[in-house]
Amino acid sequence: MTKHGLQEPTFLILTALAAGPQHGYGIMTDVAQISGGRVRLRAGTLYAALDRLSGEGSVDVDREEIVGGRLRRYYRITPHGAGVLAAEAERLRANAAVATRRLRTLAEGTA
Amino acid sequence: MNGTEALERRYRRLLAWYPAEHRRIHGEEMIGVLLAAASGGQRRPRVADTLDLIRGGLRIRLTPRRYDGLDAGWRDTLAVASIAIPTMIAIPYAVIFGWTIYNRLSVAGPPPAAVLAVLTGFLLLIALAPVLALLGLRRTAMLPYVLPVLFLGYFGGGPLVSGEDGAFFLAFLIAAVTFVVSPGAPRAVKIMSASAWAAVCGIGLALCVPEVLVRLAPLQRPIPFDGSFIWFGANRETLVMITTMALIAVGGAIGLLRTLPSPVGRRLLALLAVPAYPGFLTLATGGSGTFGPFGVVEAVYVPTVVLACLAAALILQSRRSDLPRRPPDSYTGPGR
Repeated sequence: MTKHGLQEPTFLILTALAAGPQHGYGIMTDVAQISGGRVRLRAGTLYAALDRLSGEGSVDVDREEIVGGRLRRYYRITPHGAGVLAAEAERLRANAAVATRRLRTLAEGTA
Repeated sequence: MNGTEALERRYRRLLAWYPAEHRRIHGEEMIGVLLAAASGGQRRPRVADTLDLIRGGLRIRLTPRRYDGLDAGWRDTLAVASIAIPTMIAIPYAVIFGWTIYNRLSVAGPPPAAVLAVLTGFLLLIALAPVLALLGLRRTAMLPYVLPVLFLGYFGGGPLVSGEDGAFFLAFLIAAVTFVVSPGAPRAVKIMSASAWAAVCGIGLALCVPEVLVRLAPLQRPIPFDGSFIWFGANRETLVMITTMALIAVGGAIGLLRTLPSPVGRRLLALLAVPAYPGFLTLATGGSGTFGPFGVVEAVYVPTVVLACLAAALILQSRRSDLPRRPPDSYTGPGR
């Protein structure tokens, strides 16, 4: 698992693929949807991340199709990638829980 | 030239920022994504897309990869080795383990619980290492290869891994190194067809043959080791062992050469030769003392398999232009 937190685009890419195999453009639109339109991946960022995640064994090619004469490659998350995503989700959840608890304490103190 | 063609041409020009290998693998796909994300009538890349592509290309060029120093052929070879060698090791160890347990339970009663637990754990890890590698759990898959080396380095001996010729030690070390420096099993899966898997398993089964033969016909006395028994010893069991295994090994070597892309198959065979060196060294220096059945097996069969593989490789390399190679369609590396 990762020692440092995942970068947000990486986290969102893995989250998108956790729903099932998707091609590059599908990942871009899904990431935009997951983040409520806040994160808009571009091709350069996406494929740099996919290249790195593939090298780490976190994603893999699921299948390839030719659509409209163009190559469409579907990616899927690997068990290793799912583990990385789960660890990061747990890390974020724990941090959020601490932040929420302290904010509640702060609010009670100032009330 | 219409708008889409002009836009595509400009995107292709921007992809020059990426390394050639990245373009070969992802170029067409990226063009498709970029065009899909473009708005209707768009003729030029947006500034944000242009900067993003330049940044992405530079990031890939500047980010060190574990296997950057290797050419594509060796990267693919090490990727295949990272799954093929653990598979070749797992098969004979599983057979030896099954046979040992069967014999101990049927003849001498159950072994001590602690010994059984250690052996079971170790051999389960050995047997599962290929599966763990395929699941991307490289560190766990490395354990059965690293622990015996550390254990024997500290205690100087072990129940299943004899240090007499060190062949399996070298195979263990190679397996561990390939886990670290190769792109790993996901890449190997793209390279290996079903036939290549069959060839790998065939060589693994070949490694079982001497063990099975020795246990079917146990040697009644230790064999004096003078460096000549393999070739002139007229020991029927040994000759049957060598012949049977060599035939299967040649079949496996031919299978690897026919089913793997050209540089990968030959380089993998060269890599498989490395574990034989301690055996050759022992034979060349004459060794000392006597070998029990395990010693005979280890001293004989690994060099024999390797000799058979290399002979097959040398013969077939001269005829390689005639050889059909059928890696999976998803493979896009050298030799395709």
